[in-house]
Amino acid sequence: MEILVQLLLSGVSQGMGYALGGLGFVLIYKSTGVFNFSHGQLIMVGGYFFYLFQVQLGLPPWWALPVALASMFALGMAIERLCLRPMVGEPTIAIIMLTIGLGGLLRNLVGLIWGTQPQAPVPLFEPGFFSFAGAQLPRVYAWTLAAATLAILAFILFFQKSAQGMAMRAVAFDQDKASLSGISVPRVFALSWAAASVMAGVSGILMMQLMGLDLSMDSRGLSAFPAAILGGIDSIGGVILGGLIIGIVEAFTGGYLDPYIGGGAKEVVGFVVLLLILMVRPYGLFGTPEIRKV
Amino acid sequence: MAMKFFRNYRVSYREDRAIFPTLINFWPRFWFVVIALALLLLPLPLQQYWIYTINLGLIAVIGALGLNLLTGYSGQISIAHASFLALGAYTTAYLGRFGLPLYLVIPAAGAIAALVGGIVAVPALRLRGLYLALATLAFYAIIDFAIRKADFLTGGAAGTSVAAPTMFGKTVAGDLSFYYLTLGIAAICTFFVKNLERGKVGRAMMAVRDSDIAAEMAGISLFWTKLTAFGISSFLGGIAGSLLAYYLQFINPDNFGLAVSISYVAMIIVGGLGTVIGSVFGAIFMVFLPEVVRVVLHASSSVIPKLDVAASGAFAEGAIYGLVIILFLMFKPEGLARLWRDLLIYFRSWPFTY
Repeated sequence: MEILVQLLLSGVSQGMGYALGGLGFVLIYKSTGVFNFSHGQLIMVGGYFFYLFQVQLGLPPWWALPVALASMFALGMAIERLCLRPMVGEPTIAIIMLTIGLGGLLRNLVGLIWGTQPQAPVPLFEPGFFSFAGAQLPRVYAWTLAAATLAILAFILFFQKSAQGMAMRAVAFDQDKASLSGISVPRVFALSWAAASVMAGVSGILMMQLMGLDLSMDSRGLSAFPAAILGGIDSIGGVILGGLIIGIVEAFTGGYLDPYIGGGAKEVVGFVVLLLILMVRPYGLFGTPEIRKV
Repeated sequence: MAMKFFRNYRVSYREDRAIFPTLINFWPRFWFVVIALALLLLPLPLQQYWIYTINLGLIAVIGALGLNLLTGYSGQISIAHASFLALGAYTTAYLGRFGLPLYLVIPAAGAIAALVGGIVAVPALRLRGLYLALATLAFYAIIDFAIRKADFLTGGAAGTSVAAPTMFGKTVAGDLSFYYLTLGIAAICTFFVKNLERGKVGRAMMAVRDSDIAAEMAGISLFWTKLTAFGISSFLGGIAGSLLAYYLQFINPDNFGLAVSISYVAMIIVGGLGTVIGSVFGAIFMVFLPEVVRVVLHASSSVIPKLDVAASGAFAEGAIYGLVIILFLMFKPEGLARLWRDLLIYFRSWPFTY
């Protein structure tokens, strides 16, 4: 029972991290139609930016956080401006490959700057344990869960209520009509990338609290893909549910299966789920089926 | 059949069906022979290190031809190509333990990879574009996991050694003899893909790429076309992996990481999607690029003393792969093949502009 509760909580908090990462991914897909294969790397870059400001430059954590997120905002903006804007109107395959190339570039730049050694981040939340349902649980899980939930709520509020968020939703719904009603579509594209990068940054910073910071983080960040696909690539509610499912499945696989086969299944189970979903419901649980005309 | 000095029309069905239709003319024939001879003589004056690099380039040509058939000709994105190389390589390592000769091992390696490629194709039949890319990513992760876990077959994460290739009771050893082996196989594969391109199968693939619904309306079976594309693509990937295993003599899962898949994607983009010559150019470009990077890094390490060449070399290489993909997609989406074609046209009509 104790291990069950512990796995469940770690799965849920990890899953909220995936949901947060997947949300940025869905945002880019919804408003710009680009499937961003470099999102895992963006999540990793977010973690490393925070590490840079918090540990290497010695800022207090509550200063380092906004500075790291502002850098992510700028990075997202720059990526859209330099790489994606010239590709508007190119075939999907070219844009997918461009983001694959971008992922390779980001990952190797991180490796070039910070090296392969795992870095030791200063914990953002106070360490220790708390008891819940008879189990002793690390506090960091609860804090991460709370922070991720808060961040997701903040983003949803931003989409629902703010003028920029509404402009983004309008562009996602119908680019031409949004453009006709005076919304600058290129501006929304840039903003979508910037906002998605910020979400990736938050996700990276939270994931780093749970499992440290090293170059393998981008493959952990890749777990945001199954999360996004599971729920349906264009559904915000779906991606949160998808993130939770992937997080919990991974935690249980890690807890119950890995001891028998010697580790590693936790990393791959998300992809197994992804493959099954793609075979049964290619558009996810809540996604809109794509209608194709010749 | 009299060969004219220059003729830009064809006079028989045989000429029409030729694999290289331009070879009816004198100068293309001349250059064809010159290039073939040059390739045979190329390694003789070179240092061992350069022969090694060229061999890796030739192996990459075979792999890139395979991926180009799938992505460039059939329009199916795959980031699992490294997995097919891995399957070929591990089949080679396994069969090598029984002392089988290379003319059995290499086709077997291709066949195993093609078999798995066919299995991958089944879910791929329902998926397009980004969903397919994701599915191949998932396959990559699963195959990588399987290789790391199946210690008894693959040696797990530690890797396994590969017996030297044998042929007719003799061992193929040394970079020079390996050069002729890979050159021969690469030439066969190039002719094979070139031949496929002009025939029914190749045209069906291109039709599926351009519009799958229209292709199906025209009576092309999407199922068989995609299955063939995946099968042949992974067959070539398996052969490349087999040669790589023979050449490196020791393989582990890190030889077939995601970066390898991405470098193959880079090769076909840089070379030119849907062209044979592009696969060749792209593979050679991407294999020689790290050499250039290495030289530049060595030169700059004296300027920037903090730069640790040994540690940062792999990352610099990877970053440049990524950058090259982005730049080619943005500025030269048709790749080196297009540059080559423009060059040929320029010389053909020289001294006139058109």
